[in-house]
This record gives sequence, structure tokens and C-alpha cells, in this order.
Amino acid sequence: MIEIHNLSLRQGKFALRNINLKINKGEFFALLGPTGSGKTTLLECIAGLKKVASGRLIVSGRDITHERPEKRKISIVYQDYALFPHLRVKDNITYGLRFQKDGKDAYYQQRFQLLTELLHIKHLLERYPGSLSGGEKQRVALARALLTEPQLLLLDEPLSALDDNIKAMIQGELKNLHQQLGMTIIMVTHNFADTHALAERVGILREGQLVEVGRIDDVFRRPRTLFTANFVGIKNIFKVEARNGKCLLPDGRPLVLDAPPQKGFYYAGIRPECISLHEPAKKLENRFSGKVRQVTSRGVYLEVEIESGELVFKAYVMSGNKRNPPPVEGSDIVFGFSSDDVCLIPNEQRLEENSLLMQNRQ
Amino acid sequence: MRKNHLDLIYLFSAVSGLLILFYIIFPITNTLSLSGWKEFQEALGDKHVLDSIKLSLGTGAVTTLISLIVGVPFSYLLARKEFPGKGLVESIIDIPVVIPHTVAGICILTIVSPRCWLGRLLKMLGIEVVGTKVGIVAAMTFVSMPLLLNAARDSFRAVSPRLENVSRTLGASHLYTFFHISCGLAWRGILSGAILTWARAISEFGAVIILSYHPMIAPTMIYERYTAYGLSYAVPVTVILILISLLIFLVLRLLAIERREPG
Repeated sequence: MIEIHNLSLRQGKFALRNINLKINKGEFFALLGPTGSGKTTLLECIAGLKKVASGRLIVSGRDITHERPEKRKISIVYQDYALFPHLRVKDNITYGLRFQKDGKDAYYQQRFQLLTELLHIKHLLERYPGSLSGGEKQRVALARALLTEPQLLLLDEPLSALDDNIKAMIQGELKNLHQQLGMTIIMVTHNFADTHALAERVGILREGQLVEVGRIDDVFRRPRTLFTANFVGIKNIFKVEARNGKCLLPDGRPLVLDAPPQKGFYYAGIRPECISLHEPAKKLENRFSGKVRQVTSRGVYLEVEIESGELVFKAYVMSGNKRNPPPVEGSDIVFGFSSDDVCLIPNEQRLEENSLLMQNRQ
Repeated sequence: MRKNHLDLIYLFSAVSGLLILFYIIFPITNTLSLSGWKEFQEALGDKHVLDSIKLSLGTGAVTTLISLIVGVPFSYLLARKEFPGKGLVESIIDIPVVIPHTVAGICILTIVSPRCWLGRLLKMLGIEVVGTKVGIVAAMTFVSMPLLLNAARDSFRAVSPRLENVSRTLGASHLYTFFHISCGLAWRGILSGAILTWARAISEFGAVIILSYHPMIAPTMIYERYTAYGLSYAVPVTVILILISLLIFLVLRLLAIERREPG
């Protein structure tokens, strides 16, 4: 439904380069990337708020590359909500109706009722944005963006300014809206939890380039680039060598994989939450012994660093309780992971090789 | 100890503030008190005095209107766009503020005289500048427009471009967005700038007398009365100008004060 072909833009020293992307109708797509990677700029290009240098943008078969933003029927919701402070909530929500000349007043009235009910903002209509909480502002901004029935909704870090409880509620409401209205949504975020909770597919942006696009599970568990692996939180990355049907870790120990790779050098990545400690590890294809070097609390889970041979593995385990005590620093441990949990990344990218691998070498 | 230190600072600040307020209020109130009721009534009935005050207010208003029409769009451009030489352009805008106003008058005189192509062009079009109301407005605009430009630019900068972006994605044209969102939010700052521009314009003397001694604006009239007849003749006209200026300033200022929403 939405096709982006070779889209490029230059803005001072920053550039978006050759963005190619297809998003299906009704899909919830997430754009992830570090700060300054061009996520918001890409959204603004799609909305027509920034002029592209080259490339094409096609929505529902129509080329809208050079169409003005007011003609595109693409709504945007910013992280800071961008509510008009001089207009009441009701006037904010209905602002877009001033420009609808399709004679569907009754329909929009119904949609206004539906959205204000779905988003629980009926009681706020006469108030000014300045008197609303962050969650309320977000709901009003969503209602305003959705009232005119855009063909695409762009969300720029919609949940990042909210506290955890409100965030969970708005997350639920966004999911509900997406399902009930069948909207096509592109959401920019740097939050993995939001991505997992809401999106079906994800694209990874890096320095203005889309380096990877895929289903959430594929991108997070089986990334195709070293950058993505690092970015999506694969904490165990080792340079491995495949020869004679075997895959060898840097210190020569074998790594069991689902299928033997072709001869050559690769990067092997294992997510920290896929590493099991204690007894269950003995049943897994890859198991090693080591010593617990450091245990760091990350709230509901612990990050455990394990020295094993020349390598350091990082594992996430749930914070311990009496029946499941946490690992003790300095203790010996057996740990393991399934062959299915190892992803192999072709040895094509050398950019971050040293910095990434140094984290896992003693 | 720290508390005492802070108190001393506030004490010094308050004393400084009182001195500043005294230095502004005392000359004005003293002038008001110097004018006898009889002289004041006479001045009010003097056609020349009233004409000069009307001319000052009228030319000041025209100056403000011209500044608004050409200044607001330019301020918007300065607030929203980056372009090569923008720093230089912003410095040029401030030049009239820093040069002596008689010098400003001479500068304008050089371009409107027949020796300059612009002066010849204006003459061809039948526009007389020297010794006319046009000359008064030209001098006033030159020295007072920077106040509006700077105030409007800062007000537009304070409006998030994201508000304009959202407006446009909701179907509003750029022009509609400019008037209803950008100006809708920046109008108080623009009005403040317009008040300052108008106030600066009616108080202008140095640049105006170079271009148009006649017809006489109020400051020129006050200067002439003072040099020809002395202080007692200048004070009643001064008092009338002070009262009218304060009244208009107060009304516009009240309009420009932002009413805060309960947060």
C-alpha cells in the first residue's frame, strides 16, 4: 500500500540515503534506530513536510512524492503531542474538519463520538491543552489525527514522554484503535517493549540508511547485520570460523548450530535471555562451564556476566526468589543455549568489529 | 550564611530597581505638575498644537501599519528558515537602532534627493518626500521598524514548527496555518512589537527634522516652543503628548498581556 523507492534527502550534514520500503495496508510498522539516525526526518518526508531530493513515494498506487502535506491525508502525532494551545480540546480534535469538503458531516460527527469514547476524553472537550496531563494530551492528539480518517498515521515516539502506568494504558488503546479502525501506522520509537507490544514488522535506521527490515522476531533474534545485532540487544557476539562442517568459537571450542554453514568466517550472536543457567542448561546442545564474574540488577531481571575460557557471556535471568536463588559472584556455573538460539551474521561488515568483539573478549 | 548573601543581593537589586523607577517616573510626574491648568487649557485649544499631536499619532500609526505589513512576513522567514548570510541580514536589521538618528535622517535624505536615482524615480512618480508627511513616515519607519522585526521574529520562534506541521497534515494550507496557528499564537508578541514601534515612531525627532521640519510633529513643536519661547511654553504641549501616549500605551499593553490558563 505504501511504497518508498530510493528516497533520499540532504539536510545540512545529515542525509537520508536510498530508502526503500513497502508497508501493507492495515499494518503496524515500527521504525527503530539510535538518536540522530533520521527516524523523524523520514516520517516528515512521508508526510510531505520535508522535500525529498530524489526517489518516489507511492500510497495506494498514487505517486504523492511532490504533493503538498495538506493533500496527502497522512496524519502525524509527535512525541510532544503538538496540541494547539490556543484552542480547546474539542477545537483541536475537529481542526481537520475545517478542510474536509466531502459533505460527510454526519459521518465525521459519528467518528468524533467513537474516537472520544474509545480514547476516554469526552470529559475533556471544553478544556485547554495546558490543563491536561501527558496521557490526556496524547489521547487528544491521537483523536485529532484520526478524526479525518487519514490513509496513514505516523507516530513519532508516541509513548516516550509518558510514565509507565499511563504508557501501558495508551499502548493498549493504540492497539485497540489499530484493530478497530484498521489503520496503517508507522511508529518511530527507540523502545523495544513498545515495538514488541504494537508492531508487526520493524525497520532499523542507521545514519540515514535503512539497514534491515523484517518481522519483529526475525530482526530481534536473527538480525542480518552486525549493527542491528548490537542495536537490538544481542549481548553475545563472537567471531566464529566454519570449517569441515563445524563452527568454532574464537578459543577453538565448537558451537553447535541447526545447520552447518558454508566454510568461512561469521559472527555468531546469542541473545542474553536465551542463555540458561543451572540444571536446565545440561539438556541444551551448547553448554559450557564458567565462573560468575558479575551480577548486576536491572530491575525485574539480573544481568549475569560469566567467564568461560577466553570468552565472556552475558545472560539475563529473572531476579531471584527463595526457590530460585540468584547466581553468586565468583561461583562456578554451567550454562547453555539451544542451537536454535544462535544467529549467524555474514562477515561482511567490519565497521564495529573491534568495539563489539572487545566486549566479549577478556 | 548563604541566606544572608542572597538577601544582600536582593536588597541591592531592590534599591537599584527603586532608583530606576524613580528616574523614569519623577521627570514625567514633575513635568505634569509643572504645567498650570490655564496653560494646559490654552494648549488644548491651540490648533497648531493639536495638529502636531494628530500628525504624530497618525504618522506613527501609518509607520506601525507599514512595519506590520512588510515586517511580519519577513520576521516569519527569519524565524523559520536558515539561509546563507542570515546572521548578516539580522545584523543589518539592527543598524538603525545603533546609529544616531540625525545620521539616519541624513542617510535617508541622500537617497530621496534628486542626486540619487531613487530620489529621481520618486520625483517622476510625483512623490515628494522632503518636507511632507511621506518624509515623516520614512524617517519613523527607518528608526522604529527593527523593534517590530525583532519582536515578531522572537514570537514566531517561540511557536513550535511542529504545530504548523500538524496543521498542514490535517489539511490546512501554509497560508491558513500562518494566519491561524503561527500568528494565532505569536500575536501577543507581534502586538507588543507594534506598540514599541508606534511608541518609538511618535517619539522620533532627530531623523524627522532632517527630512520634514514642516509639517510639524509634536516633538518638533515642543522643540520649537522650547527654543523660541522657553520651558513654560513647551511644558503644556509635552504634558498633552505624555497623557495621550500613556493612555494608548496602557490600552494596547493590556491587550498584549497574556491571560494564563490554569495548569
